[in-house]
Amino acid sequence: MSLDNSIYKKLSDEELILEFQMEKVEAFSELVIRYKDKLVNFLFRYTGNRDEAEDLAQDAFVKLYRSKHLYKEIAKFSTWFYTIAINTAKTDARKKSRYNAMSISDYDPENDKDYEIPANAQPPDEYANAGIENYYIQKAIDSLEESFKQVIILRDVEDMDYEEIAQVTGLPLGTVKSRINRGREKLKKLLSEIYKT
Amino acid sequence: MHEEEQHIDIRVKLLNLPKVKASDDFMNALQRKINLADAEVNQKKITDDVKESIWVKLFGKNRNPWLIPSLSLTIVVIFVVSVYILNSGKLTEVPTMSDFQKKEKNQDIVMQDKQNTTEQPEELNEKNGRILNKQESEKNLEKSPPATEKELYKHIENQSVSPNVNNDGIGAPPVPKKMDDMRIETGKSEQKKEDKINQEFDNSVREEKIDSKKGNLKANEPKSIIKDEEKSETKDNKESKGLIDQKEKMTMKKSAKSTTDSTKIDKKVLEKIKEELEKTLDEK
Repeated sequence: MSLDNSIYKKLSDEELILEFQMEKVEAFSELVIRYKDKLVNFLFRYTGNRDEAEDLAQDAFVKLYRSKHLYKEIAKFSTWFYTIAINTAKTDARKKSRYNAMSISDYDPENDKDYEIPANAQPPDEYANAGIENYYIQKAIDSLEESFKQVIILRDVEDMDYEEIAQVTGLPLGTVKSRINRGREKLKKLLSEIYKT
Repeated sequence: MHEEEQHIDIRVKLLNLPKVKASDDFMNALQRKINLADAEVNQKKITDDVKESIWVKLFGKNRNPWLIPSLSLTIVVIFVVSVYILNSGKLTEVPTMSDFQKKEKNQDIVMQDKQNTTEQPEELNEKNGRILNKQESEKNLEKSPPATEKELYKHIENQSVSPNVNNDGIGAPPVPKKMDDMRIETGKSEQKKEDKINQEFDNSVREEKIDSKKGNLKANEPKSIIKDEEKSETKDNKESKGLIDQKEKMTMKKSAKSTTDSTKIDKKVLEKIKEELEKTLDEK
């Protein structure tokens, strides 16, 4: 008994994943339609790279497709899926930090200076359309530490409440609140320095 | 809420950031990735199900060259061990004392047989002659009993002294070669049996005859005859004792039945002789 696509649109996220657990592929496609933009936006703000964000979003959906049976009704689907996306982004970042970091000293052994340039450094043209302010805001987010960046994006970009953020990150609620506050302070400082210059 | 009010401007700026949307090709790319993932999973299942056999690993296209020396060494070791195990049984067959004893016994038997075959012609002649004499004497007794004691004595003398063996010790005419060949062919055991039967028969007959003569005819028997008889008996006994002692030991068990039969026959013959003698004495 397969439901029509219109019926799947009326179902909640949790109902859709349950349908997908019963091998209904239409439910999965409905979940993709609902979450693809949100996830790409979140990952773009997290990584600072659109292509990378899309790749990571696709990887997160593939993980959802393969490990659908791991979902349980206890948690909200959005928090469970964001957890998958964050873990995917973290593992990818770790891999890139191992393999994409280039050392100039490898090419010039006589030179004592050791310059490290990240391979995924983006040119400023990428952010031309978003405006100069948005570009600098993104630059400031990228410069934040991992612990602050994660919670600030979930709270101020994705507009999640504190409890959801605590569930996604696995941190205590108080820690989430303090980290968000401290992250905002740091962002304000960074942006004020940028505007001064 | 108090904390958020402190940095509300930052929150507003972050919330007003432009939302990045997924590309139009996002779904197709996702479908491709899902198909690839499924293919990988199916391939893993297939590879897990169909494991390569050891022969394919060793001799297939993807064989490991570093396995060659170790494989050849194992083959050689297996071959050497198998050869050692197969030949260890032969090497450990150390001849035991029983084997040596058996061989010695066999050699002794062969030597004795050879000696017997060399001695056989004379002995066999004697024995055959004796057997023939016994048969003739039995026939004579049955056909024509002796009328007088003298005739009886003569008859007994003729029986006791083998007709084929003279006083000079000259043997009877040799047995034809065909008989010897037949005896050799029939086997050693049969020869031994026959020899032993003959010897025992002779001895028993002689002893019984002497006893009968001594018991019944003490008064009238001439001493010279007795002496001659005793001499001939002693000679025969001396000759036969050696052979009997040797062969009795060898074939004591085998010939037990045959000896009992022969003694029974001898007793019957003696009884007949006694009866005939008594009859003659009564008639007189």
